[in-house]
Amino acid sequence: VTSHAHEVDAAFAPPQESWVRVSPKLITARRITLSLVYLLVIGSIAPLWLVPRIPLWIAIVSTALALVIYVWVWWLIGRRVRSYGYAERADDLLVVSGILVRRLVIVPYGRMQMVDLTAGPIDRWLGIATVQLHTAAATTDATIPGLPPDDAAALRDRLAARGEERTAGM
Amino acid sequence: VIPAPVDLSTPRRTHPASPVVLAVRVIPVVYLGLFFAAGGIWDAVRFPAVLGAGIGAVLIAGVTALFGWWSWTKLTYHIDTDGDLRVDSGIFQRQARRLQLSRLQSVDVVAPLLARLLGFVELRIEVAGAGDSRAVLRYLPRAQAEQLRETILHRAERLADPGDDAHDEDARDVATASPPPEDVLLATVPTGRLLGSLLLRTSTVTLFALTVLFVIFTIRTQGFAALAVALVTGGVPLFAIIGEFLTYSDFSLRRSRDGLRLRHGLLQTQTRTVPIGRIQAVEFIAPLLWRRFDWVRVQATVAGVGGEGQEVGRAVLLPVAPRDQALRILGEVIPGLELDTLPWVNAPARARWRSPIQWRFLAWAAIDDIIATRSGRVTRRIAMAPHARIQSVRLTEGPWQRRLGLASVAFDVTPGPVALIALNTDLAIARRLADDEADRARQARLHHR
Repeated sequence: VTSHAHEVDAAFAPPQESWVRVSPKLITARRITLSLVYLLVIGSIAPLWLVPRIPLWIAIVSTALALVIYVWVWWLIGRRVRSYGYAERADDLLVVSGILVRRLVIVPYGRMQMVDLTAGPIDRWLGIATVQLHTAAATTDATIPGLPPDDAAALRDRLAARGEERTAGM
Repeated sequence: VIPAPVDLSTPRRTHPASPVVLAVRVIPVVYLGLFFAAGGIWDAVRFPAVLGAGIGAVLIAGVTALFGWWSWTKLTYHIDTDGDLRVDSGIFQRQARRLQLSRLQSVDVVAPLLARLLGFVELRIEVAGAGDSRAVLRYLPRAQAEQLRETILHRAERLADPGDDAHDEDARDVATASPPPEDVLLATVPTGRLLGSLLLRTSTVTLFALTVLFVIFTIRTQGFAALAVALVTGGVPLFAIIGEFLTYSDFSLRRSRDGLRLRHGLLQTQTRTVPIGRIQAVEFIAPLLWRRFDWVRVQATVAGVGGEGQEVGRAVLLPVAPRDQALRILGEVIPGLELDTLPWVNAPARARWRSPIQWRFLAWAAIDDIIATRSGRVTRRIAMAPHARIQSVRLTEGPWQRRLGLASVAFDVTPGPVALIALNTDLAIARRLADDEADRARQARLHHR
């Protein structure tokens, strides 16, 4: 905790009482993905134990390392997912994310060119979806993952409607 | 002098000499190819390579001319009753291309070296949108190409009437602007200055210095590994310089009815028209060694430009120019912007712990219509954009910045070379800057048109 802590809070503060947070199911989805990736890691560590010429300590150290990283990322996913939030203001959408590097994106409704709604196989199984906003700039990075499908569809429709309203008003 | 309009109501052809120009253009390539690539064959059949490659090149040029003539007889262009430019072509597979002139983006006269020597140019017509969006007419005598260009631009301008084209804002920008009817020469770049500026670029100087070091090292130690490295460090900037020199030689910038007209190139003359309304952001770049001459490069991000070896969205408005001249050009692009009186808000002194080299130069400024950011120490960059062009605003803060009470605010524009970012600004004002800019962007957009 540093002397700038309250400034950080103020800089990333929600416009109203609080950010709309995403579904905790996203934590499950990402931990499943992590575990699937770890199947590959296990696959590459296993031979270290089985091949007799490799010294035992190498196998022990790499297994311990893999385990520590697994637990750490597992914990990190929880924090990262809880960091996502969004807020719809009168004229723009705000999206926050990140723990180590914190981000806040402001997209005026009039600038939205497209709103994407996507859901991968794990997402569909768990019942979550991702809403992504596109503007004419490629650098706009406004993605809200882990929304319940109904909320996501409603949000997309709301955003699209506001976008059209603002563009037509010009 | 405005050239006489060309009657485009009936189908027209390109110049009858086109097949010949096409054939002449293939000769050098085929000749060199046959001479070098097929070198072994000439030895095997005991025939002089110079002669063999020559005969081969002439034969292939003949065939090219024959097919060129055939396709020439099949190619016609005209403006149809709907006002679209139609280009019919194709020997076996007929192709009827329709370009909607109301969505015209550019009409460029391009002169490849050999064609130019024979007095011919190509005309490239591009319209917005996917699919049939581009047509190339090759070849036309230069005068005729210029006439045709004017005629097409004129037609497009009449079609891009704000009344019936409310959705196409950029076409409207072009149509409603009323600069003088004739082109006004705004700037040229002398060859010596261009060459000097390329040599004095930071990357060039650094790499050449390294090359000298490697060469000295080679001589002293008689180890040739360093020489190989020297070839790379010396060769890369050399090719870069030659490439840029060929591209930007004979540079001229003109103001025309339909925007800024860029013309440059030694072996191949490129003519580009950049409608002012399409310019999203402008950047001044001043490398360390240019500053004693007070030179800057001016480049811009232009919406919807790309393809054919060009970086997306990139337009170099001036490869190198004295600062005064650059400021005048800036006035053409973003009227009313006084760069020297911008109310810069500097990054706080503690930013030195995050950006030890450039912290003193980091700043942002917002005035009525424009947002600007400043960065760089060795190579200084000032990026500027009208608020109306900002698509979104991003506030980011890394762990080290958090410790120092700093954050960066990025202002997103369409893809291109110019990045607007207020680096390491005071955390206490960062959020307000982001919120305010989102607001200004929205307001500016509402009042803009």
